[in-house]
Amino acid sequence: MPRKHRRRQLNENALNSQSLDELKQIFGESTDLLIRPFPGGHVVYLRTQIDQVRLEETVLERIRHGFQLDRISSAYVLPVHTFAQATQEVLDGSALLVVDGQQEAYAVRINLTEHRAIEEPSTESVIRGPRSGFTEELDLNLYLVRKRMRTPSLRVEEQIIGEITRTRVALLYEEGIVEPNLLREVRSRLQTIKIDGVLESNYIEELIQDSPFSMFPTIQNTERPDVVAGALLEGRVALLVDGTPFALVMPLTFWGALQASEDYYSHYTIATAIRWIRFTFLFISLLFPSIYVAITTFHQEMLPTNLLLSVAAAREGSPFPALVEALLMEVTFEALREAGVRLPKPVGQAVSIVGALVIGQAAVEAGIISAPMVIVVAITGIASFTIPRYNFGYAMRLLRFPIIILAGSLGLFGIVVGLMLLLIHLCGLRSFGIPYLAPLAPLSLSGLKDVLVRVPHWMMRSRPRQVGKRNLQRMPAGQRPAPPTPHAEGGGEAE
Amino acid sequence: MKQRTRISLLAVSLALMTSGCWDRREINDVGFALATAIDLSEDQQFEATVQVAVPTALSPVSKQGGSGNNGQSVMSIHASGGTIDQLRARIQKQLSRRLNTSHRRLIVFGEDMARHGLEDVMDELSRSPANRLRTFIVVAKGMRGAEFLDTHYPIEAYPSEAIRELEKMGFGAETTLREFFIAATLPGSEPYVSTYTLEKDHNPVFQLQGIGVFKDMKLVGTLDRQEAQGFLMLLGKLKVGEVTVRIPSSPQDDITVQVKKVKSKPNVILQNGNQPQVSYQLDVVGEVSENTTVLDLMNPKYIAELDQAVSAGIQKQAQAALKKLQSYKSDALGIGTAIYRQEPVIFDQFADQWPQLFAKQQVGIEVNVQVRQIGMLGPQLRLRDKEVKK
Amino acid sequence: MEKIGSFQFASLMVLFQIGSYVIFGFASSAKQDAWLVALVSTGSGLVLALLYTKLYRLHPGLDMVGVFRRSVGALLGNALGLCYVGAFVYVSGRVLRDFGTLINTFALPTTPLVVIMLLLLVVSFVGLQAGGEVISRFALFAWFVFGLFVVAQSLLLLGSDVLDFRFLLPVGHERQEILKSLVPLGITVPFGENIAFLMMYHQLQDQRDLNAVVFGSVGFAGLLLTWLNVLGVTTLGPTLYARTVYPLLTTLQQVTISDLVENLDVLVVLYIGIAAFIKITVFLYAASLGTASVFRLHDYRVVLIPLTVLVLMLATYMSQSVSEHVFIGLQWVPWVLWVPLFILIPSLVYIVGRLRGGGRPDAEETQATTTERERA
Repeated sequence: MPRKHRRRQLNENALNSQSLDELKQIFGESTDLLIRPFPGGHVVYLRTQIDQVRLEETVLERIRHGFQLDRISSAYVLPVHTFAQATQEVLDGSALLVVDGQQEAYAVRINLTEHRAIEEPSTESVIRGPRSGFTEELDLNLYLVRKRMRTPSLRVEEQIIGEITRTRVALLYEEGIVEPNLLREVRSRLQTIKIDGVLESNYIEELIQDSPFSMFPTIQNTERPDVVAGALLEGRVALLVDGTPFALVMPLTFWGALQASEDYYSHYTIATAIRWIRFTFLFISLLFPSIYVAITTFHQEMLPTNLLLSVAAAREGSPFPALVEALLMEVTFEALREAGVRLPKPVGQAVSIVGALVIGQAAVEAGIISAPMVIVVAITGIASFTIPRYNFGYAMRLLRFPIIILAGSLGLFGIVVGLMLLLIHLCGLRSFGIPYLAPLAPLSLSGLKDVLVRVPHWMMRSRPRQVGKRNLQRMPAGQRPAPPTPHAEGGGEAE
Repeated sequence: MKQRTRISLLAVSLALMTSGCWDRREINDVGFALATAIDLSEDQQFEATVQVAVPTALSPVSKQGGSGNNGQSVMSIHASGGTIDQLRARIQKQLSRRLNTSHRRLIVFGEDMARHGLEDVMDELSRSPANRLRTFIVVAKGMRGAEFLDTHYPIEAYPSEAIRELEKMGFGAETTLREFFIAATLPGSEPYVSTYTLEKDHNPVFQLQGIGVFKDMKLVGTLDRQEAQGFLMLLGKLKVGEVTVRIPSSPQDDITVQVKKVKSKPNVILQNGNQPQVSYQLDVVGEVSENTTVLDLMNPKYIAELDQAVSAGIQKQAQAALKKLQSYKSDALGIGTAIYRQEPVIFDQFADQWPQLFAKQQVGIEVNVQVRQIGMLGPQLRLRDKEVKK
Repeated sequence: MEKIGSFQFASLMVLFQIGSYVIFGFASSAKQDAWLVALVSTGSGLVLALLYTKLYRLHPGLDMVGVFRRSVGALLGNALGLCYVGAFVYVSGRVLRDFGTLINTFALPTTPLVVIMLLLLVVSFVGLQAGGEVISRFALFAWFVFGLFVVAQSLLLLGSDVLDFRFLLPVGHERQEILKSLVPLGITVPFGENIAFLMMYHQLQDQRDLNAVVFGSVGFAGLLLTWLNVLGVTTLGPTLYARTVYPLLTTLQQVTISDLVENLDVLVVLYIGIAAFIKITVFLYAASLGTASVFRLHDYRVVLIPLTVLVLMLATYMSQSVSEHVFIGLQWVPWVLWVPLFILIPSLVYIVGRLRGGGRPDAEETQATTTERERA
């Protein structure tokens, strides 16, 4: 057997008497491969992949009653013709019944399905809304989605990606709503993937995304089945990957990255207000330290005189220029945050934030850092926590640093240059053909109703134009609720 | 395509790396000038005093608790020279931090300087981008600006702050550089500023004295308290003022009315085709602030008398102001401008002689007063019932 | 060929036309009648826009050089095209210089001018590399920000109690100044510069919107200019307004809200950054498209680097001082460049092109097919 790692060649030969030996060879000396004889043949299985209890029941049956296909009642049986199929079945946890002298073998599907209980996803918790999250089992995840979209038009297309890991990946879309071009594009990109292993959906994400060098995510990932269902309803496409609870949803726009599913489960006024807070804090998390540095170093005239003198007083003692201070504190804060993630959960959060502030306070009193800087960094940190999508928040956090440097060398002009470059980048970004900044640019007024504000559900009569063109209308007019009219004639449907 | 991205990134990073941050000025390397005083010295040279803020006085973390420099929150620097820019250079040579005037909110001119003429200093004050047109200007009457600024004023963090707040209260001129320039360049107007003195009897503190009027950028005279009030009323800018009068029903005692709102409208009518007739219509709303009579002011009859009396009183003030202005030949009221706005062609004809014509211009003033509030009491509290004249 | 949506195209045009005002003001020498000049200028701007759209409609689907070629012959058309390319490069350099000087004066006094200009040019370059579509999307976004700023500025000024509408009187008195501002400046800039867009009309996605986009943006920009002039005069008074070199800046300096918000003039950096960027980029884009068209190049990006460098060098060396720069800009440039390029030549070309039989709606072809055909 050649030692160099080559692409596995699937042996499409038919089964024969050499097959057992070949099986043994292929699996090498793996101790979990068991080949047990029974009168009339052998049963081959991987001890670790199989449900032992059911195995004994079915095998016992075989041994006791002689090999009779029709007696196998409680398990799913598949005839197997090729060697490749046989190998795959064993790997998937079937018990392979090889009958002497026959060209066919039979795979009895009694594979183990151990999975985590369905719990609330840790990265996307909500105050109000369903608390189920995906697990690592693809079938269970499919179950969760299908349960929410109980129509036959929900299509599931499974494929295998990854030469060695042979990971199952399922493509989901809602036929009749999804944009055919999008679907075609996703399919073709998946086809071109050639990789040895897919361990997490991120592998696939990085292989099919539009702009591999941009740090802005163009594919959304979520642990929540209701998010996936919502996306499918809009005409988007989802990918479920076996082995990870994180599903991929595409396409994604800038605004989508700022949304949380909770937006739709709370009252629309609250949701709108929170959206605005998010916008504001998005800017703050990106720009606050830079603006502080720029103003105190270059444009002191912009501050009101009293504030200016307070800041000047606070900075009298500190030895570092504002730029250096800012970078120092920001890096420290990021490090603390990262460290907090590794700590056990109850301790982690508290330690990272409180730790940062305490260290900051101590540094101020020692005269190393000035107090306003601590405040700025703390607010910036809090601001970055308001961004619901983790990967998006990270992009902003990272971008903060070059902009701080620009601010420190060229003041507000530097910030303006940095922002313009950023904006140009965003303007040119596309996610599977959709401009990243839609519906703001290019402008689509109807799309705005779910971006700037969150209009009540009865006003969301059409799907987002970008993806839902095929089937625009979502609900008919006249859905606004109203109390019954005094006439009480046929109910109170006001328009 | 990627090559181009690389080129542009390279360009940006080059630009940044060579930047060495030319313009970086750490906040602690800057000295913020809060106020400047400009005087004329004996030998006709200019003298300037700049008050620079000392931030440590405010610092909560400062080691000595702010008493590091005898609790002074500002530092004064003096210099003299032939031009304003020379002054600036000399002052910078005494200051360990870079001078920055963008937070300077006050400029004080000594009276001598103001009478000498402000043309020389005004250019520097407006040309440099660091100067803000929102800086207040005042004149220190009877003294030098430097002396004036050095006065200690405990209630405010910086002495210049006190002047600013006083200006903004509304019984002064509230002139900023911008207004000064506008008034100086607008056809038919002259600038005016507030004048201050020091109340010297106890601890010297600032006191708003009156309003100084200029002609051709030279201070030519001042209006005292009463005249200033009349002046501001004609301009419609008075925010706080009071008039004390006696009404026929009580000729012995005074009633003081506070002016709450003034609306002033100048009217220009042409007579004989080219003679402008100017008249002012003043509408005043007032509130009684002091009543030393025995009258019960709840009686509308007294209020009517009060209206009349106050109206006459304001008339007097306004006329006094006008006469003073005319004696100085300084049209600080902007009557010329009003004519210009309405009849520009006519005004152009005599624009050059306007100051002289102004001095002789007949101006009618009509005052309409409404005392709407009388405070919390009708008659005085101290009177017994039978003493009150209802 | 990239297509640009209507609203984006319009934002691009509006920002472009407002651009210069933001730096140097418009007709401020007319003092209190500056707004009147702006209004009249808008009228002439609409006329010019009419000329340009008619020129385009002679041979719709082509860019400017293409129209020239078909109207006056290939040789003359190409020559004219190159003239305009040169002019665009020059103007691009001018605006870059203007902007750099402004930043140098106000925000970053000791930073070398070259660095400031280089950085801005780099942003333009990156944008142009990304393509016209990206630029126009950027313009849309920038327009939102800009519009917000204008509204905020207006409200703040209104609230700061500094406006005095009496400064607008007397109306129409400064006849001399008004005329001086109108000819040659008011009728040529900023609306004459719209001719650069002739290079891009064929990129408009929905060609039926062309009229709406062009005339709408001219009108809107004109109104905005008028309003900004009104704001300026009522804030600073007529004389001050006429004398300050940077009117918008000085106006913004007057904003104050109870002593808290002050000295906002540095925010003008943002204002002007956007405006300058759009202008420089559009001119550079037009120049690149023109060059590509004259030399029958496939993609304008090829000429982008040399043209950008050219712009930078021009901007650096074109004049020694602000006064010289402004002098050239007021005395020489209008008569030598603006009037011929924006008024005379387009009119002539239009007349000739009309006589030669253009303007038939069925003669519609795209730039691509024309190039193909002429290459054959």
